[in-house]
Amino acid sequence: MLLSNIKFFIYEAFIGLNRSRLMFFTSIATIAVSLTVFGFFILVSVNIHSISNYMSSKFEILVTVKENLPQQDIKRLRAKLARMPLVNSALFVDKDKAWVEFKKKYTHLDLATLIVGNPLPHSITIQVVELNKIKQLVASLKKETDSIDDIIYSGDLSEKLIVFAKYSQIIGVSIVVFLLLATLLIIINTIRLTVLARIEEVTIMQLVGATNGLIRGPFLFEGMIIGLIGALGANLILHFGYQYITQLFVEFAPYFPIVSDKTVLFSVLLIVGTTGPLIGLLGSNISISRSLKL
Amino acid sequence: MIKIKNLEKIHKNGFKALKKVNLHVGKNEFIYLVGPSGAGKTTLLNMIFKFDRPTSGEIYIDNCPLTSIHDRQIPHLRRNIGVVFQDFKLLPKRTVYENIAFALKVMHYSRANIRRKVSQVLDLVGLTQKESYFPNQLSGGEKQRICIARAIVNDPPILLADEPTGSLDPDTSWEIMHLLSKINARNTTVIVATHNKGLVDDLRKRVVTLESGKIIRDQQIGFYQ
Repeated sequence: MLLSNIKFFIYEAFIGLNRSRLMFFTSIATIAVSLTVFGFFILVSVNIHSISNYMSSKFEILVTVKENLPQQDIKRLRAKLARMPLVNSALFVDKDKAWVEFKKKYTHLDLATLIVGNPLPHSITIQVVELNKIKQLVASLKKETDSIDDIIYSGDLSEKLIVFAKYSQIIGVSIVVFLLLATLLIIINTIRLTVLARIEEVTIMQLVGATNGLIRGPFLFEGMIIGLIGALGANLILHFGYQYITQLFVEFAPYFPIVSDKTVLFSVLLIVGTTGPLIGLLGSNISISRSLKL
Repeated sequence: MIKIKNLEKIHKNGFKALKKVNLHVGKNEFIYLVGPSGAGKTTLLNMIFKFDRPTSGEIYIDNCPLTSIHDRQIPHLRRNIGVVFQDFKLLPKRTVYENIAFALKVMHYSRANIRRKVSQVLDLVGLTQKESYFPNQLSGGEKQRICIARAIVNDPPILLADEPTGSLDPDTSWEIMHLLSKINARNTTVIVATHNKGLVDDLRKRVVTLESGKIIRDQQIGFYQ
């Protein structure tokens, strides 16, 4: 009985799809476009998150050491700072090297006549582990009064960056959830239209004594096939589209931290690939359940 | 076979479609259900195959009360009642063969049995040559024959026909009525709701007249009055 039911569902679903080709292709196109937009925004959200992480990782604290502090003490200080749990890395910058770099950077200025000698101090560049704990780190650095002369960091900018990272995540997740709901509604409506176009068929099925399960089966199967093919179409667009966009960024904006990791793209394709048939199934179930109550 | 007791149907807008209807239909009977539009003929037929629910009263089929039937059992009830409609209700994108076979498929008949029974019923309605046609390639009379073929393909004991000749010319209407009589002669109880005075008066069967939801006349060999 179960096997004959499954054979019936598959046979009837393919008859339904074959005899309503225009509706079938329209539904697939609608679902493919919806899922492409959905997948695209997941990728945008992943990239915004990556940019925020990238900017956080580039955020540094510059610690200038007291003049005349012996090299031994500077080394000890660097090692101490590097061991701090909130510090990702601590790099000693020799003042002479820093001055050479500075002059290289500002060749248009006549620094030799403007400044006598090297005004720069020895310094240690610190990269933080977490941007939102920067104030806590600065507070502990301030305790090193014997060896640290000054702590330079963009407090305001770090605050803004923290807010940006936080909101980019919230907005990213919200957009993805919103789009998932929008996609669900579009697909439900699309499948509802295919069911409504065949409402007479449902009534006739009921009249000749088909059980609700037997009526529902082919429609569920159709919904799943439409969702699956729509998702495959969306995945093709996303796969080649994203590869093309990544290529463009690598070529024209190599400094931009676009996510080019294949596993990320494949995860998104997997999400879209499973969302399609699942939403197709859910959409047709909701639509056919309503129609069966008529 | 069919016993109807104090059947009432009041629609949500308060309209009384059926008022205390009592009727007894014996096995293998042929009944004309006549009356003006809105008399309650279709409502009564819909109640018999549970396409509508009564407000009160009861219908018994072979002593089984329909109100006690669970929703899940309705499809099984319908497999024992063939229904013919004025507008045919054929699946437009399926061939004649597929339309008839569909009724057997939902009952899990084997492919060989489906082939055999569809051929037999097409032979009975005289449309063997048209099994691969689609409904839009058939005339009104042919569509109605297919609708009848689908209704009786699994040999149901009861056949209900709601205005089966409503949209057909007089000659075709005659053919359809003769076909229904032929089916009745094969031990099937047939109830035909109709407006067609000529057919009722000529075929001389039991006539039940409905008016404003009430049975006003029930004659064994009756006329359309």
